[in-house]
Amino acid sequence: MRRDDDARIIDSAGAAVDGASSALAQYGTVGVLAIVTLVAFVMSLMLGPEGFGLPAFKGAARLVLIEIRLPRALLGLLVGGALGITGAALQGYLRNPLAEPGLLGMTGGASLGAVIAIHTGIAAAFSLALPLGGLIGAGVTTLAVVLLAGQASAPVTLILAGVAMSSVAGALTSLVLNLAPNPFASVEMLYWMMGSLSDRSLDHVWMAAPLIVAGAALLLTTHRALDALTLGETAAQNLGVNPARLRNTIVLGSALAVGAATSVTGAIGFVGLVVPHLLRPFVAHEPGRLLVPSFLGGALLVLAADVGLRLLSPAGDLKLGVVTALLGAPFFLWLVLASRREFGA
Amino acid sequence: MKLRAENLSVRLGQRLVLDRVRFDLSAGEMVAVIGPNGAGKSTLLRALSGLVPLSSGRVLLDDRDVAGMCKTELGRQIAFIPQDRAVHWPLPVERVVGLGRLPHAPSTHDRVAIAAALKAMDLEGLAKRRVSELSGGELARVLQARALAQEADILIADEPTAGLDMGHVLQLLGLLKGLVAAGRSVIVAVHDVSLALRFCHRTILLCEGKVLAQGASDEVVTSQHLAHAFGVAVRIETLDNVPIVLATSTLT
Repeated sequence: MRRDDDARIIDSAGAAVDGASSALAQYGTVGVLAIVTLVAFVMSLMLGPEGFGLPAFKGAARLVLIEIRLPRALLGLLVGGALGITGAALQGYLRNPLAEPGLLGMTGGASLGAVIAIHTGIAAAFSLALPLGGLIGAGVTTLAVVLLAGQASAPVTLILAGVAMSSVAGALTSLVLNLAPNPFASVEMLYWMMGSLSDRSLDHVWMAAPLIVAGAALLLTTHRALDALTLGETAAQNLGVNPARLRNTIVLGSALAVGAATSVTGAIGFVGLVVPHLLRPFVAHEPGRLLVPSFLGGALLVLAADVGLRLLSPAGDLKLGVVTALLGAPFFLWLVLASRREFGA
Repeated sequence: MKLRAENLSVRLGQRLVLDRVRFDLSAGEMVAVIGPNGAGKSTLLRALSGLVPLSSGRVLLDDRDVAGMCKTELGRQIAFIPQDRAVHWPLPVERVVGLGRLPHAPSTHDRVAIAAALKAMDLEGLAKRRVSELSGGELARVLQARALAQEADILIADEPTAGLDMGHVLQLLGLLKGLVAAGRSVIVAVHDVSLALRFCHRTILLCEGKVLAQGASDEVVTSQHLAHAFGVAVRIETLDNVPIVLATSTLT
């Protein structure tokens, strides 16, 4: 059997979980994840500066609940879900366990759009100008990736185009940071790029939710094709997969979900990479069945990380993207150790 | 179900890989495709399965152009086993075989088809095993079982015997013979030309993208044709009614 080395590393990590998970594997995963995610969502709603408490539904407390905590929890759910499902879909489509939502350039594009909005001062003009800048950035980058990759492109060409456009967006983002009109603007840009759920309003939710839901729905339609791709492109075509249609669905679904998510919260790393890995053994490694659990798992991870950082740093100094990166890095260390055990090094 | 190739040409990059190939396959027929490395065998099988764009000519399935058919419908009519035996995620064997049901609408028959395919390929004991734990030959049988579970009228297999032990080679070809006897049709590319002579009604000999000979297997698999195509001197003998083809020396 031919497989990439990185796939083998993941196998070895997954194998340890496999045995214990077989009973839970089939249908319980989604149910358990849904319940735990709901608990995390409610905890996010209950958490205030004085710790956890039952939210009140009248007066100022109601306002705090509706205007501050609810958008934060809803965005945690939606953005985490978007990152999780996109990571799972891209890993399945590219048959590479190291694929992550930023691979096709949407995250870099959204960041560029947002920093330009801050640099030009448009961000201060109205509350949604910043996320709109991010959306435009993500949209332009996606279009550039698709044009660069060409119509009849193989997945590897799509990755190359995504990496190329990510590099362009990264270079331009550095340029905008470099040319920042004053230190406050630089700090604002850097903070935005670290990713956060704080100070978002229901307007942000209304803006991102339809796009994330549409993107996730598109990605869900690919589940059978992703399963078929397990056998390679030729066999998948023989099983009824239309490669061009699949590619377009994946690109559009990812662009909508990740573009909208990054535009409202900034770049939140590792969620889309780690979550599908952790859940894969619970769905017998089937890429199609990984999509829904990864949405829930991503939502759970972001909600839990956000609750955790609010407990650790009630003043809001700690940024969500930093916390997910701090959680993600040990995951890679674990992968290295798991692969060392596998190969007896 | 009839499959017909009319003046089939395929170009990969600048190279003309298939040059005006004509070919017919009727129901209940087993046809071998033989030829030296790079002759265009795999490309012919892919073209017949509607998996590569043609530069000219057409493939007709019961008088319908394959190029215009919906991929899912085509997957219900033609099952293709590629030479490439990649399985990118360590799925359990039964789930890989179950992928063969993807072109069909989900139904209770799926379980029956999967169980039958596992049994036919001698995989019942391995059904729960992950494919990453299998040997190369076992994996080949799993992928063949996937194609059987597709329950297509036409089975097209690219080098299905490569990597199989001699017992499973005979078992596979016996199984294909059984499918053909039941009215299905099979096209196989094989390196061991004696298998063409022994199991296939007809043989196509390809050389440099062109059909060097096609017809009844014993008329195509001859020492003259093989000498021309492979550049070897060949002896063809029969032992206990089993044809044996032996390359004795290279021709310079």
